[in-house]
Amino acid sequence: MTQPTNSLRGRVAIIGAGMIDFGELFSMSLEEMIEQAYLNALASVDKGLDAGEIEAAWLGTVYPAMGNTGLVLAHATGLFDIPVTRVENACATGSDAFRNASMAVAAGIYDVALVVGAEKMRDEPGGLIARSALKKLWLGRGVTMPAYFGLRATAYMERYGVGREGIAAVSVKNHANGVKYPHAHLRINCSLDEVLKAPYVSYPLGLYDCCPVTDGAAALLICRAELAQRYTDSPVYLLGSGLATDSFVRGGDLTSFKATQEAARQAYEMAGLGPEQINVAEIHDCFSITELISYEDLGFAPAGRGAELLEAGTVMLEGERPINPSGGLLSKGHPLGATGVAQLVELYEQLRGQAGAVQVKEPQFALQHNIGIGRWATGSVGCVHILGR
Amino acid sequence: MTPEHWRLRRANDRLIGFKCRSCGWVSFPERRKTCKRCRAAPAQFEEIQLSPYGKVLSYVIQQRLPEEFESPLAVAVIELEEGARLYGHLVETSAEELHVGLEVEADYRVMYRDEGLNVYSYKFAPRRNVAHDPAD
Repeated sequence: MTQPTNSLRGRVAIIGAGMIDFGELFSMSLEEMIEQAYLNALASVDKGLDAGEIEAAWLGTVYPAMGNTGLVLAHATGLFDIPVTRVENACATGSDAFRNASMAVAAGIYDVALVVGAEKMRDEPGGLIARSALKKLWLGRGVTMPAYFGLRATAYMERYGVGREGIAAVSVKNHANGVKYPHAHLRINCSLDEVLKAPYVSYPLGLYDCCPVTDGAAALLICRAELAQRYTDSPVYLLGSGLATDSFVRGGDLTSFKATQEAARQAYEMAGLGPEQINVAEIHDCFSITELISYEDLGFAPAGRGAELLEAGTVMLEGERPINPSGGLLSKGHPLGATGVAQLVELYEQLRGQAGAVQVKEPQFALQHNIGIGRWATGSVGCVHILGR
Repeated sequence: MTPEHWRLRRANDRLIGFKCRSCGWVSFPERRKTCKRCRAAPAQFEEIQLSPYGKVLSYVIQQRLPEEFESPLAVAVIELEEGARLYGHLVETSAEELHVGLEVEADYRVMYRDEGLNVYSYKFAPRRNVAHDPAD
């Protein structure tokens, strides 16, 4: 592969990050959630940032309500007259919004930009499952998200001889972390036995193998790296970014996500780093199996051996390479467009030593991974970012 | 019949697929001009009649579904003999019988009702009359 002539490495800094407490937020509209996340991000800037300095904004949101465009962000924040673009890329939407904003800032088009990811999910009682009742033959009719990932779980268990308990250990770890994370939706512990005995949603995945249905919003303020010191003495730099797509109709095995592998390859190459140098990661655990497979796709474990990282304690909060210290999507919740941005908010705090009860010991490099399923459950998109102090 | 069903009528009713002459990838159900595996553009596709036989690559048994589905519902990723990969709803089977590698065959069924009309296509049942191995 040829080296990209215009890498993003070290050219964009995160200077502010904020989110709202995720949950069933019936009292807040989409715009109120966006507004609060934005205000929290503004308030987090160490040396202050005036709203008038924001030159462009990106909104990541998935649900296609008519008129749900960048205008929603402008109305929520008062940031009119500047370019606001809405991005949608399945569950990787928030990450792609950040990626697009970063490319514009790295290109020198804007000095300071805002990225907001938000999703109002609980207003629709049926959630995504109701959307699987598609009058579409051969596409995802009846293939709910628990089914899509359950199909990976069955294939993984069969191929590698891993039992449900090997997968369930992900849920136990992430729920334990979520109890300590103030923004998490489900702050409850669950034992291995509880995960295994919970009712099935889509065999082999039970209730605690699945993330909840959650409302939420998160925001980031970014600037050209040269300007970062104007806003903070401890910025976080974007070192690598990757995005790729794949489809199950192309063939390939069902026990890995090629979109993740390709996005990770791009991001590691751009950052000039490898998986062994990553100190902490937020990984897309919409379902327990997704995190396990992602350990392997991201290079943290060989194929089929992801569960060993849990057995050895490597990925625990006190371990050598903590994964999902925030409790991940399993406890934090997965408000689609907000998810990727919230992962980045968490890693920003980790790298600055501000993560409170879930703080990891002096991380230098952090990895964020977000996967999305689209085109009626046939296609997938993977997005990976690497951040550093 | 909606335009979408009309466009895909030969796939839905007769399991017609399209095989890339460059890499052998089988496009189903759409006929297109580019190959999703080898990126040939334009690709040369040969029309083929897909076999109704395939095997289960993976499956789930769904307990939580919208009302219009019967549940529990078994859904599988199925690979037909020619290599086309698709989602299939499984019928005439049980949780005990299901396994990765199960041989199945396509069965023409009512899939759902649309604008008051039945829409037919294929579900998949375990293959009951597997030909005997000549070596037996």
